[in-house]
Amino acid sequence: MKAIVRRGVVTGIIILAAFLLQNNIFAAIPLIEITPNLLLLVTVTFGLLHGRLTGLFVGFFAGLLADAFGGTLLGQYALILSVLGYGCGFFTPYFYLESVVLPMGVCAVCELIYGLYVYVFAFLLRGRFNIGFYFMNIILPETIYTVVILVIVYRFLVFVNRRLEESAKRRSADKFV
Amino acid sequence: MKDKHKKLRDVPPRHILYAVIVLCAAMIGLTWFFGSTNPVTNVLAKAIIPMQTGLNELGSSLAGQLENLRTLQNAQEENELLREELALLRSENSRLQEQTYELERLRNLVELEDTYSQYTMTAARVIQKDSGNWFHSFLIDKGTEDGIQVGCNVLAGGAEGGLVGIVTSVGDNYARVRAIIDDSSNVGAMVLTDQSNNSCVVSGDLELLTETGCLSLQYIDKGLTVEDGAKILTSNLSSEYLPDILIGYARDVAVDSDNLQQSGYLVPAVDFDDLREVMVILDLKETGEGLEEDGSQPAASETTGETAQDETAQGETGTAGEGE
Repeated sequence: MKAIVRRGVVTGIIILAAFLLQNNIFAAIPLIEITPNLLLLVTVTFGLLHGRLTGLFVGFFAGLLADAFGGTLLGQYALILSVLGYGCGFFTPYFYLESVVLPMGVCAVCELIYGLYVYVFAFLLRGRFNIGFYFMNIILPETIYTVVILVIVYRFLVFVNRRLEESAKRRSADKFV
Repeated sequence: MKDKHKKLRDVPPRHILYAVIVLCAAMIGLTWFFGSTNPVTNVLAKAIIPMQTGLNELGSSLAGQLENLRTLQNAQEENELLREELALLRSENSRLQEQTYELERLRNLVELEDTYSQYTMTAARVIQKDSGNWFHSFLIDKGTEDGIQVGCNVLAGGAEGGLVGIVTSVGDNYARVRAIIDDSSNVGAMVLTDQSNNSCVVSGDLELLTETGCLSLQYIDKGLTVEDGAKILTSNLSSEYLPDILIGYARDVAVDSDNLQQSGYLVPAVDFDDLREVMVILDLKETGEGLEEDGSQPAASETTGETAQDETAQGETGTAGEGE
């Protein structure tokens, strides 16, 4: 039980850090015109590492945070991120911690879906039909940027995860001995 | 406790997914019908805003350092150019100063006060830019505690401040500002000219913004001649924005392909890349005394279509013509 609380707290801190980094550090630097989607990155990584349910909840809380401070409607980001996190959980059995190729692919696909979702609901419905432009100038750069950041951050997230699992195992072993 | 845990495990993940989707849909529906300021945001803001204030300074200083490096290289070339320009401007300045005196005298004559000083304003810091790349809105570090309400106009700090945007939602210690460069922003505006049929609309357009850094300037009367660099101000017909605030400068105004109206580009007066401090006007636009329901109707038309505004513009030009 303690291990679960511990994991929850650490996950919460990671989500909060991703949010603050995305909104305050990256967004403040005008040289970088496109900001990477760190909340999606964290959601995808946790979904892959821990399966559907964790992906679902991490996506939900990350999205809720984005909604509270960025969305016009509460729940719009929570909806897409929790569905994507859940979807990532299906790939959990197929991937190895050492390889970063599958996470990159899954992350790219999720980014594309996320971009299309925002485009359809915030732009297409208001009569902005030039999807080619939005794809080339916003969705694609954001995807590439996020995947690049994933390669850098992935090791760190896996490391944190491994430490948490080890300490959880040690504790339960102590209990039974 | 253990039993409960076990029970949670037994629920198929699919059902939890459905529950979360329904929960999200419910939240979307609730905020759709009951407005954007919600208790969740207000509670979260209490904890997160202080963190952001600190972090934002870090981000800004980081950005400043990078900017310094880059600008140093251009500084010398720019210096020489600026010297030449300075000489030109000096001569022009003396000429303009003369005109300013004349203007002031004329202003007193028609009892127009200095544009912005008549409003009560408060300064606020920008603490968070929007996440993602689709929207242009930001958070400032003041809220209802400082007298800010939804609908307050926001200007860039400094003497010659231009229009930045409008407050769309507000909490105790923060307010959310939609910038005029946002894709969904529409501002009822007018061209500063001595001709009377001078109303127009300034709309944000993400496509245009990415390609040229401009906003779109629409619905200009076909008979009006608009030169490049003409000042565009907020109109007194607008239901959301206070009158006579500088928005930017016109560029490339030409007759539309349908040959009915003119449109062009607007170069904003404010540098949105480097926005750290803003001024919030605490006075709201008055839309008629005791006519709250009537007042809300033009607001809706302003964001959706401009037909209603065009009609009122016609009426206004009529009275203006009579006045002259």
